[in-house]
Amino acid sequence: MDESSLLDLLPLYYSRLFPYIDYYRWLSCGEANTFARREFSFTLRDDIYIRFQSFRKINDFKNEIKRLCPYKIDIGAVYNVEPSNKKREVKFEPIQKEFVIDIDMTDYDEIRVCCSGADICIKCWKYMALAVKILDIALRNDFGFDHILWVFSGRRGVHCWVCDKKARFLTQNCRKGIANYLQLITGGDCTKKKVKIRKMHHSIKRALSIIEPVFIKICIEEQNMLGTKDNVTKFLGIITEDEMRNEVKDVLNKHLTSITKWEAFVSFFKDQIQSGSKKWCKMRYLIEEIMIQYAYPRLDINVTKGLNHLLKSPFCIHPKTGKVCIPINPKLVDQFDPHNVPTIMTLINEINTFDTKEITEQGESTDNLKRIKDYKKTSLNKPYYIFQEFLRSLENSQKGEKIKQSGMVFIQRQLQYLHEF
Amino acid sequence: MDYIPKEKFTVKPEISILKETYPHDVQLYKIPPTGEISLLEFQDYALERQKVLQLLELILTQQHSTLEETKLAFTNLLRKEGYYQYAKLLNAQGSDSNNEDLEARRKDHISHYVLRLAYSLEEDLQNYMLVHETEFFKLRFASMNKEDLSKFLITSGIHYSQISQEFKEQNRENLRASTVFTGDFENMDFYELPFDEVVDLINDRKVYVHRGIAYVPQSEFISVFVTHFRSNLAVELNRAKKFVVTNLSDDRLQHFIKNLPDCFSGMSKVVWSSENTPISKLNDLSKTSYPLCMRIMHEHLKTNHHLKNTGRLQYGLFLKGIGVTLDDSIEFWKSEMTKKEDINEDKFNKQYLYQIQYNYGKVGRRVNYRPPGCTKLVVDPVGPGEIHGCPFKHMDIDELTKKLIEYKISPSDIHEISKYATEGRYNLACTTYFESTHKKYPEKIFFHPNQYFEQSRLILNKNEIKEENTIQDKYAELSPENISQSAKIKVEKNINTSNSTTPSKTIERKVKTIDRKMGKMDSLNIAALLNDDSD
Repeated sequence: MDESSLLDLLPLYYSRLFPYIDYYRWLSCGEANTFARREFSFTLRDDIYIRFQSFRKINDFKNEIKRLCPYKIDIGAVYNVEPSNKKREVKFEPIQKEFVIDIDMTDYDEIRVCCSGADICIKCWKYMALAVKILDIALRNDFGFDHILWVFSGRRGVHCWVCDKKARFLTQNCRKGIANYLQLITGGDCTKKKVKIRKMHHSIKRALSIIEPVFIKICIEEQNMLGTKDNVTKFLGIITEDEMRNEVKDVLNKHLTSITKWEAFVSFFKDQIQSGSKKWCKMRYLIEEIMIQYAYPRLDINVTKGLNHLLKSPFCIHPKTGKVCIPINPKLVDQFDPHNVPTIMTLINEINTFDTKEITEQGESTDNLKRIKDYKKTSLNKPYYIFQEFLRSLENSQKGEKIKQSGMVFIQRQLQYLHEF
Repeated sequence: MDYIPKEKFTVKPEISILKETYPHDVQLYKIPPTGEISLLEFQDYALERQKVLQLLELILTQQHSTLEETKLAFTNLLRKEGYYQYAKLLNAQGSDSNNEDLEARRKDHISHYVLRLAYSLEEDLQNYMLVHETEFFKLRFASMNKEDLSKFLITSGIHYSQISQEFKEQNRENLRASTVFTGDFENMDFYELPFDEVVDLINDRKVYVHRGIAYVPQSEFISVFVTHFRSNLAVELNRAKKFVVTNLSDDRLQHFIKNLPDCFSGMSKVVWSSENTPISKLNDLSKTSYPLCMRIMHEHLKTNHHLKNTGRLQYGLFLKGIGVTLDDSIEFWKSEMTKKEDINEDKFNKQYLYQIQYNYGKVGRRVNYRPPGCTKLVVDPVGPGEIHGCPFKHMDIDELTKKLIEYKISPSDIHEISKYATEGRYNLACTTYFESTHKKYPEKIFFHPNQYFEQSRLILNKNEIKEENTIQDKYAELSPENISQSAKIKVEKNINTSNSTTPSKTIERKVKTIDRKMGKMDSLNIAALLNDDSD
């Protein structure tokens, strides 16, 4: 997408399509005060970057966005004071923020062969689908979170926003704890074996039950995990003992394709365990560890840990691809194809086509056109619906809480009243 | 070392009151100390605790595999350095108490509060205190015997309830698989707690957690208290900061408190080089005087013209520490990183310049960041594509060996280094690397990359100033003498100073000249001073 057309289209997008009202509903968490203390930061043309923007009213926000037409909007924490007034305060600190997760395809470069860097294809996107499925269930089942928004990051990754009240008020230390709980793959370029399982924790077991059925298809076949010399060398690096590595090497050398090699390795390993080989038994979770290393989500953990860390907002336009950062339904993530995500260009075209068609069919009476919201004329309709569904359930829980609170106050008053007599 | 201040100089609380105030060896430090204390004691206690935390930092870089081993190593070190009271506190089992114990508990209490004030002012100091006080607490908590543990649980006010046998049966498999336990599963009691009260266990994946509830066996209750202790301290540090900024009016104390962390565990001189290092020398220095972690990063930067964010942070701050000026630093990074095809000067200025200036405290929050020590390098995670952190921990042994062969380390040394690295004794591995490259032992075990650099320069420059860099002398800077002087308290001349009253080993010599009576005259009301409720 070239920059000049982006420049032309952004004003249209921000005035006709950006979902201001729902966006405000989401980020205010039921309180105007919360929205006003929320940090936004904008990246403008020529990489000009401005932080600590905040807006008291939805219209202030709307007008500023329309005026600046930012290439990128980032969302930060809710602070104790309005971020735009922070200079006047001695103490300026984040109070709450959604628990967020950032997964970027570049972190998969060492295990994917189909693409590298910023590129993605339908094959490596499967990693993302796996990640969404594994993390979504962990957040729900283990931590009891219900209001989880998954968003396509515009090019090659996904973002996750956990918006439950409890999640928003987690301490930094606790965020770090959950992040480490979810992070199974650790170690940099100098660590070949990146997964060490000491105990088969229920969360690991569950993740494996999601990975296992698709492991051979995705990793062994499509990513050709053992198909080339380089890949085999990489794979052998996971086995840290020289002697054992050589044994496996011999086994693999007898076979030609990725899949036969894998099968041979698995049956070799199982034989070793069954025969009670001591050195192999020390690594009894080796197969599981390999599956995790090749298929488990790779989180950018620093984003999750920091309370004041910023994350790109949903409904931004990615300046390089022109794609909209749209919400993803985690239940249907397998059907999500990043190539079908609408770009700003297609959206504007869709509106125009719709309008022209309406006009030719209905004549010049534009009443109907005005009545229909612009996004409904486009392929954003579905993603918006996902967002609105998410909001509905979030707001219901917020209402429930308010009722509970006011109920408590009411009972307390009653008690007090009784007391006084 | 067991210093008990002389009666006539200090205001000493009654034993009976002490008994009431300090029923336990372990405390959560929820109530500030009350009573009066001499200025001297105030300073002594703080310096001593600071030193204790520093020793703990050293122990933590060794990464012992069990809590018990860590505790043993720490106890031995404390004894070796003469901190018998702390060694005793560390291993104290509970509530039995003689007078000496009570005295130690009081000291523990007061010194903790003084450090709270002193370490509240900057974020990295706060973090230092959080990490190390929490660790200290954890070790001490583990020493408690069962009886005292239950007493402690009752008084703590933390709520938890036991799960039913039925629930245990239903979730048997998950509980067994996800709980770390020793002993008999059948007889184990589990308690329900919100997951955010056992962050430690979550962090290490050591507990069964379902829909936000963690099922914690009693043996892991320590985690509940550690989490509690930590979050409480985090809140209190911020309150302490407010107090120091707005309410602390006593000049002497202000000076002391603001300067105490500057001899940050006695390290400020180690971390900040007194000399400028020109960037033209970095290549050579990386081979002769860099610790392995920094050498690898330097090399990576030189060959790949890129380092990921955390790597830039760690190496950038290291450079700042060894005396590379901001301008030089910018030039150095720019010249390296723009060698990469897709980065031109304009892009560099936009993407990376800010962080360098930020590290030097020139933009953003304007904090003068300290280079991180070994603990941080060892503990911080390393992700795909990254090469920062402690090589002895984060590199596979064969990768490490390859690197060392490349650096022409002798085979026997390589063997020793990799042995230490596998055992998790990273600072010994680092020391051996130093020995191998310098043909000389370092004076101290390393706990900071910049300390390594400093020691190396010291040897290579054949500089005679050696003794001056021992930690003891760094304390001297902050001895009560200097502080009182700078606070312009008149010290009368020709005062009869008795050598017999030594407040603590470390500052013994320097204190000789101080008027001991001053302590009495200026005794402070600790309650007023430390009760940070006053806002």
